[in-house]
Amino acid sequence: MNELYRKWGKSVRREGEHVVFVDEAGEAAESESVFRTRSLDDAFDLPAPVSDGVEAAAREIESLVDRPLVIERLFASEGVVAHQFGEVRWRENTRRVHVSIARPPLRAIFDFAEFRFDALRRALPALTRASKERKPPKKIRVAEHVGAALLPLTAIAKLQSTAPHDGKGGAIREQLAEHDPPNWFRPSYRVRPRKAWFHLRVLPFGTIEDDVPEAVALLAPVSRGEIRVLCVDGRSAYATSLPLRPILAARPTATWYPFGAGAFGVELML
Amino acid sequence: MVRRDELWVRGALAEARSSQGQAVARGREIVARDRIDDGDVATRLRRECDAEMERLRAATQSLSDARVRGVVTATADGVESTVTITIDGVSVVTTPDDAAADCDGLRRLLRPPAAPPPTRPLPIVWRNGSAAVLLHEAIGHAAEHAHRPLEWPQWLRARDVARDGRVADLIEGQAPAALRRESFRDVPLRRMTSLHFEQNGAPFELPSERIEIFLVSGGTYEPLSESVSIDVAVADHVSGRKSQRISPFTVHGLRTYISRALIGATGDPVRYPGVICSREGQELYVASHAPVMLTAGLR
Repeated sequence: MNELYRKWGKSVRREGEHVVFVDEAGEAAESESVFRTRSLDDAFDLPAPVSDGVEAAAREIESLVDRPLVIERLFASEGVVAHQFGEVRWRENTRRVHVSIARPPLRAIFDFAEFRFDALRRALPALTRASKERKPPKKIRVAEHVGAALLPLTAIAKLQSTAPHDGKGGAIREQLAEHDPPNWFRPSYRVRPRKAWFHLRVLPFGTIEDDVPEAVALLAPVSRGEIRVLCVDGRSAYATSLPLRPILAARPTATWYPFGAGAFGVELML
Repeated sequence: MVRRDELWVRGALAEARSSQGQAVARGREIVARDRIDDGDVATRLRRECDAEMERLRAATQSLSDARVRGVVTATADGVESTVTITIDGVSVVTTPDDAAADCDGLRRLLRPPAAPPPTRPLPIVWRNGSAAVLLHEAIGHAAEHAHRPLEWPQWLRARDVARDGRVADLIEGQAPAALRRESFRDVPLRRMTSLHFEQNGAPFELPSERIEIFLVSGGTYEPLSESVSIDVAVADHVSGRKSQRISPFTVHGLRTYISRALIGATGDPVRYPGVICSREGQELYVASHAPVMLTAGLR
């Protein structure tokens, strides 16, 4: 096995107060035993990024955050990338946002692949008025962006969605995500590719009870054991931790989120 | 900067990465690219980086029972070279000069645990310089975050020394002097470089029953709650003359509690083999030194 992958990218990101423009190209060569990467001194005709989009996204987030909330971390990026694996070439445009907003000792974390912040508008008022930790409710529904983060760890039937290229240029076909994934995930040319399920989604089942308390934000990264969330129950809001219970109902959405090799939004009831 | 990064598994090369690039800052804008405009600088940095990687390979080639990752970074400020050695899932981070000795030290420390950690808190003796990790989290990161200084024991001195020799008194709440970044793509952050914890006239009385810590696998500082967690990789439960290796465990504590729990120290600072500090996704080597220290029980 001798494989050669090349990647050219230009991006701009707003990180805190800084605006960072990155222009780079690299190559990954993989043989049976050794994975090698190197920078490519090789220009490629990609449009130069402009910072207007990420600056506007950052300003919009900043406008949503008032005391006692503080922005602890803010990354907003967009870029264009060209890939080549063997003779297969493809391009993609990316947008990513990672933001953590704190009201000590609570921290709400959000990841998006679009510059749309409806989830922040819903969650931040709850974070502002959140009271101390409570036991989890008997049933809880989770907002679509929280559900997308949970998808890779939930034991329900999931589908891989169709997309033109994986990390080795192969087609990504729709199929049930069970057993070993057939496609390769390569988040960077510097990282050895690994098998992963892409663009996970679930089919709707059950009935989400709209009067059940709702988890509107993650308060910690998702782990296999439990999730820690900001829960809204009527007028009250509080932090709670709960184990990953069986899923009682699911209502998928069309918004894609950058968790793992991708997951679509889904409201879940646990 | 120019970087070489190699991973050797049981004597065979598994991964090799080379990269180069420059970052030009203009106000709040940083323009980063993987080419170095000044050809002479690029040639010099590549030559320095390759020479150091040759030295690193020579220093580690005998470590064929280990997983060895060597990273060399050459910048205008000099060459930094780190070696991470892992055996049976336990790691030390060192330099080419100390790699063989630190690997021997790691081998000597490794033996299977014979017991779980004690369920009740016991005094902890932080050996092998490992207190540097506890204080890196409780004092160093707190200073990076400009958290208010605490009252630490009068006998404790805590300094961070930047590569250019600037010194920050961390107990006074001075932030580390150096702005550091992992790669040319990253935003430089105020980060620790070389930590020196020292004691002057500290009390020290070895408790007959205690935990003795030799190596840790990680530590975190949670800035919102100002709490510290230390994942302990290699430790013994000592009771009188009996010593038992115990399973890995984690200790937690608010930094205010840790400042009160620090009850003794003895001897000169010892170089702790290994701190790779991760913050904002940027992993940086931080040299760390501390004497043997004694804390009250931490849960």
